[in-house]
Amino acid sequence: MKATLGMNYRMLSANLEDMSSRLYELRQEAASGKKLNRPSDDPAAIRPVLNYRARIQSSERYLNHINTAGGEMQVLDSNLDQIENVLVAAKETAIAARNGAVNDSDRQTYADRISQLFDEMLQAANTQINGKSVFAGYREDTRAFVKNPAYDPVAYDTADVSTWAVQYQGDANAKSVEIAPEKRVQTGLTGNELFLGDADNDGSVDAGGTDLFSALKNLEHAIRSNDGAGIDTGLEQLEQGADQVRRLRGRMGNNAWRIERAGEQMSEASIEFKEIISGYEDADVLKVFSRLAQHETAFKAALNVTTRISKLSILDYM
Amino acid sequence: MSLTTALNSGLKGILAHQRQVEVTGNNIANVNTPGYSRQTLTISPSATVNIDGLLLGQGVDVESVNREYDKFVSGQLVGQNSTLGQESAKSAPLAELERVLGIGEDSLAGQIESFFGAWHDLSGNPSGSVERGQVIYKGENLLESFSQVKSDMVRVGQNINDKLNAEVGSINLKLQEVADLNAAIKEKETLGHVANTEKDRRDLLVKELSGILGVQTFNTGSGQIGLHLPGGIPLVQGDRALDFEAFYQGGDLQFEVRAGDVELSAKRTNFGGKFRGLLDMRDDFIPGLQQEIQQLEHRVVTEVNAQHAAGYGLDGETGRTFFSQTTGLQSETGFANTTDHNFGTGTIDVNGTSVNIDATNNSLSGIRGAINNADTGVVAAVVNNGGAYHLNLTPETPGGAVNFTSNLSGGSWTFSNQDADAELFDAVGSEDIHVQISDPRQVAAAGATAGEPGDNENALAVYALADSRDNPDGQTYVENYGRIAATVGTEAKRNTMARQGASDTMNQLENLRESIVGVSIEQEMMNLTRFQKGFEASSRYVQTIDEMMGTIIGMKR
Repeated sequence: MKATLGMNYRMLSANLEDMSSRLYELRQEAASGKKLNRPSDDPAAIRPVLNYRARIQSSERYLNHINTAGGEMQVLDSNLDQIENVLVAAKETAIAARNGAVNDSDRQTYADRISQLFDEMLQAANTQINGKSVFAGYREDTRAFVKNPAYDPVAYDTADVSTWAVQYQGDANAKSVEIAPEKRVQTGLTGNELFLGDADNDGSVDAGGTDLFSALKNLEHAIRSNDGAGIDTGLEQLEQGADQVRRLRGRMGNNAWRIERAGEQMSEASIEFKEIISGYEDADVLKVFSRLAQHETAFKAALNVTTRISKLSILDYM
Repeated sequence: MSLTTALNSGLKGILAHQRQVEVTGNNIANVNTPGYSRQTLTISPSATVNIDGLLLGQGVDVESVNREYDKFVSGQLVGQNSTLGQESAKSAPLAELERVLGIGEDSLAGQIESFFGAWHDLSGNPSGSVERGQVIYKGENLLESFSQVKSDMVRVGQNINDKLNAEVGSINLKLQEVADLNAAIKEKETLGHVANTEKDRRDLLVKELSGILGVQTFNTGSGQIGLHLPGGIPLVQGDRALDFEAFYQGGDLQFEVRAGDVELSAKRTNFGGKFRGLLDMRDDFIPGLQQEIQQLEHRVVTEVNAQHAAGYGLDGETGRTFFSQTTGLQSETGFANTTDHNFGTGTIDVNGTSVNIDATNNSLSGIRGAINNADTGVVAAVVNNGGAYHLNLTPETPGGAVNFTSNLSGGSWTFSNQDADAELFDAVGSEDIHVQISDPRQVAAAGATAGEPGDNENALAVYALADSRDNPDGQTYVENYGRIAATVGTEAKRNTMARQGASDTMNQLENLRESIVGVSIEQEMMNLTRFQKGFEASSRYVQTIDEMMGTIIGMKR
């Protein structure tokens, strides 16, 4: 077996080609910081990488929704606080009006005060955020409540919606947010449940529920007409109504806590996903650079051999 | 032995060494000639002559110039070059496909994610006109990406056609040269000469043709060889080269070998080498990917449409599809699989063009191929509707007509006639699937009957499709795309390794050949010195004889 010049050069060029393409790959890895640049770099990693990338994006969107919902719930909570204050103020006014030493003109003042509180509560019930009604269910483009012009305290019937002090224009769908796939948490309250005590929105106040607006209007009428028993009933109703508001406020507080927890979990998961994806995608810089140095040395050696071969010739010795 | 005879043998020595030097010089001159085999001078002692009972040699005779040759290695080189050609040819299309079906954030997977992400955002603010607009906009982007991927794949196929077409001219020149060399070799060998140079040249051509076409050789006597494709289609017979022709049919380049009036059609499996590699890509690998991408698009479009139609727009309308759909263009009944030859034989009439269906292509995918190969103005695709396969026909130009009449008979599967207008395929619909919703208010985010602005239930339901594995493959859209990209990745990785392996083997074989028949400068230089010394010695011998003759002549003064 003889080794010809042609063999030497073929071997050298094959090796140089091989090394330069490996150097190119390493340089690309070092420059881009990624070891997964093309599908062929690691076909088995494609599915997890695409999956986790989708999950990172979706958790970022979930976080956005959670943050928005958190803000909305704070507004909701301050609304509920305001409503509670209205009820407390109404109660104080009613107790003052119940006092036997109150004269007629004072009673009229107290009744006017209740009427003002009614308007204040109606305003709270028609609160809008970003032009959307808070308490109208899915019908966020409509005012939740309008006054009933045909209201007559004497004809009031809890089972007949047309006799109530206000008419509800929203629907019975409470707003909710998806905090994780297929996991929804209620973030809003519907006007019918909160203000009318009619959770199923069937036009009849539920057992244990209170129609806050009619209660205030009835109270106003009782004070105006100096109806002691009526004021007592009104006080009782205000107490029940405050309970109704506090119960729902507690529920929302609990939901707010759940949403906050979900947000924390989601951002933790998102960080974990990023770590996993980085394991598949990102080049280990130290490793790449040491391999790069290693290959560059080998490449230099190969180039060195090339020049030595061309220097060595039998012709120099003949 | 007389001095004159001795002078003669001296002359023979001088001449023989001169020839040796000449052959060595030729070897050195060809040290870098591809395919050159080292030549040697065969010499032998001249016949002895009986002089006074002594058998005396008469110098040296030059017999012939021979080339060193190893049949086994040469055969290996031809075979290996075919493998190398096949794998090398696949590299460029695969690199293109890797780019088309990438895995970056701007890939199709990213667009799918971003489309469903828009629905997710909409669920957070269902009445927002910005979010509604985004859903439409991202839907258009998604379709744009799908059609970009599909047209890029078509372009890869066209590039392959161009590459193949560019080879045809040089192939015919090479085939002709092999035939001419065959003729020259036969002529020389009949006259008793050795056709070293011609054989070297022919070996080189055969090696090149093997890399391109995967040709195989066989000896036909008188030093001639025949060439044929791996499938047995002849290319060179003796001193006659057959015409290798390419022509476009059904949008793709087809090949045939013409021998007089006989046309032999050369299919993908008839080739080896570069042609096989490129045709494997064009006719097998890329159509498979196109099928998968179309299937994925079909799934996204139909599933989103079904969910969208179940919801309500802000205007309270329901039953709207999100994307325009080509349902009217599908066969009415599904079929169990794509490969069984269960249809009858005969013709299918598509837009007035008759397409022949015989026993070799009467499967669902065969019919798709036949329709696509015939220039009907219709693109056929096989899609899976969650269990059954359907033939999907779409016009090449948006809004174009599709008329389909099946005249197949004798098969167990038929395209049944169930359509209202008594045509199997409706001519409605257009090729480009587009977003049918134009007004953001029409986006059906609401799930309740009234279509209230705050209702996000249908938006959430559409978003949930992105995570749904409720399909025959049990994969989400993104996973489905990931599998398609992984198919390309795996094939590209395999190709890189196979190409590297074939190239290493090729180098080894070339070196083996070189070590046996190659020219070594060291060896030639040593020989040159040796032959020079021999030449000098022979000359000195002649000089000696000359002096001896002078002595004899000088005896008489």
